[in-house]
Amino acid sequence: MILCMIALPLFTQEVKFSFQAGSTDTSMPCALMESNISKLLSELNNAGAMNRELKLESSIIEPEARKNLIAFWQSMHFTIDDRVVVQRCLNDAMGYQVRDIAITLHPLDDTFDASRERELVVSLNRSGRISGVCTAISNNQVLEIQRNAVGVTDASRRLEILSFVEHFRSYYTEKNIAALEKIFADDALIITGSVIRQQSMANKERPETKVKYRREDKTQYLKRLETQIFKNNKYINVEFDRISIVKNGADGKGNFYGVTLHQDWSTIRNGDAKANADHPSYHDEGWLFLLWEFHDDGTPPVIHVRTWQPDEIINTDNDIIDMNDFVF
Amino acid sequence: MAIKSKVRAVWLLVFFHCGWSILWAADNVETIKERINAIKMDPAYIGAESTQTDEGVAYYEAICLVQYFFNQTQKDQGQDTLSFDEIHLRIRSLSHPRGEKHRVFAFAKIMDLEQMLSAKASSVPAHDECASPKSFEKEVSAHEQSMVDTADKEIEPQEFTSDKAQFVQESPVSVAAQTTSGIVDVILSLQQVEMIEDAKLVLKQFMQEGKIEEFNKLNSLSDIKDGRFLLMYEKNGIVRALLEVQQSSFRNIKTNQIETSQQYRGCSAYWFR
Repeated sequence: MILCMIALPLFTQEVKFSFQAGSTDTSMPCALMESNISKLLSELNNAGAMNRELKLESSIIEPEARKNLIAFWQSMHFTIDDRVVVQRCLNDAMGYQVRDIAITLHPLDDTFDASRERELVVSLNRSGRISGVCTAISNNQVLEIQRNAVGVTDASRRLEILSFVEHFRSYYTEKNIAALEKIFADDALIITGSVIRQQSMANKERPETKVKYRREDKTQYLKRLETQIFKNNKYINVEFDRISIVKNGADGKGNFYGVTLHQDWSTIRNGDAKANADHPSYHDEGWLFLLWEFHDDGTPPVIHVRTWQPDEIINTDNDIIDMNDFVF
Repeated sequence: MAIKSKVRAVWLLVFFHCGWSILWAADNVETIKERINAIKMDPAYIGAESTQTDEGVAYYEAICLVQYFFNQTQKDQGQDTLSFDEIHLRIRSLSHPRGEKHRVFAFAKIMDLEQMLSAKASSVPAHDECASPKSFEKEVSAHEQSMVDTADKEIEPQEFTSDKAQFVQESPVSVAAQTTSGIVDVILSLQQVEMIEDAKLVLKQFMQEGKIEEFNKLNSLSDIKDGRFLLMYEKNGIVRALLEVQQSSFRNIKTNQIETSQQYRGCSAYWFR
């Protein structure tokens, strides 16, 4: 009882957020953004420490971002490592980003076995409200992507793509069909595949690997995702790394960006008592290619093409599908 | 009874010692975090951080980010930029463990970087010249000295830099004696890298600085000539070896052994010169 009385005030410590000196200018709603991020981080920290549901003030966060964060919270809780957080304000195509907020994940069951030390990314729109919250991809990816940028617009779009990729990954973990619906263009071409390992009679030690491809449109893909993948699996974990972004250099195609990334996908089926993080029900690794289109009117970018190729068929980087493989 | 009391006393000592050590370590980390935040809030400094399993990689990435942020501002104002080496000379850092990872915050005084730009403008540029192992050691000393000379005297010299200097002393045969001085920095940096994506960052950086002439995928070469280096990596992106092509054979830079291509079946490679 005494321990609880001591522990409770420790858990209810607020988090104060400030922007790093020199990273903002007078055109930004800095005070509002700092206040909104502080409120968000404090609530995440308290809810994570007390293992309770999130209570987010609607004035600080956009409804869509709130819904996505609550969906993420159903599968994973986390706490903020520091009581005082100072980070740089970055400009992206849709608003601002704050990266590198140190968090510790608190998985809700024992199926999660990856590193618990992560970094959080908070996106804000131009009016200073939070428009997205997700876990980050590592810094070297940010560097790699930003280094190749040509000009301010290209740099901000690349940062935006990185943020979308980070959210895109979360949508699978959250089983968030509504968000995926928005991110794919209506005419999207989707090529998915699954790896089938069959026990060979000739070589009993090494299973034979076959890749089954499927070409789908947006409606077919999302329906299958919802009624089969999301419904039949208790847990989906998607990790992305080795990301590269290439801007289309052709005249009139400057709004198109090709994104290649390595995907590590694992699922644990409902009722599969033998499965855990080390031995999931299904696991594959492969290369994803996403063709993004930005719009000059400021509406969110959309994906026109999504392809997947298993590691098994990739011998060199040249084997990976990229923008040159499509005529559009 | 006396023995029991002694055992109890020893356990008490151990308990207090462990407890004190944990508290001290936690307090130390908190102090470092406070320092990092104070520097971030000070407009006289520019800084960036990275968290990685490998402290050396985190240190390298944090410097790259400082360089990127500083040069971005310079470019926006239509002004000259600084190379990685130039930034590195003025960098100081603070680090602390984060679970299994290391968080490194690299920072520099903006005034120091601006002075460096002014000095560069009024003299013959020297940053593209490749450092020999000897001059690299001098550079490390100068770096450490610059840390002592500045106001934040309590900041310890960066561990990664010392390791690098030690490596130069320990492995002069495989790196220094048999390669041109220009490539030494590249090799030293690649030795610290575990993943091919990180290696590509390093190679791109050195190409921008003129320390390597070109790098590309192995299949872009029609034949593998002497004097080229091959960075062998596995499908999962882990770098397996750095090889130098010598008289149509492959010398492993780390072991100094001659190897065959058969030993790297299933691997992909990047070459550079």
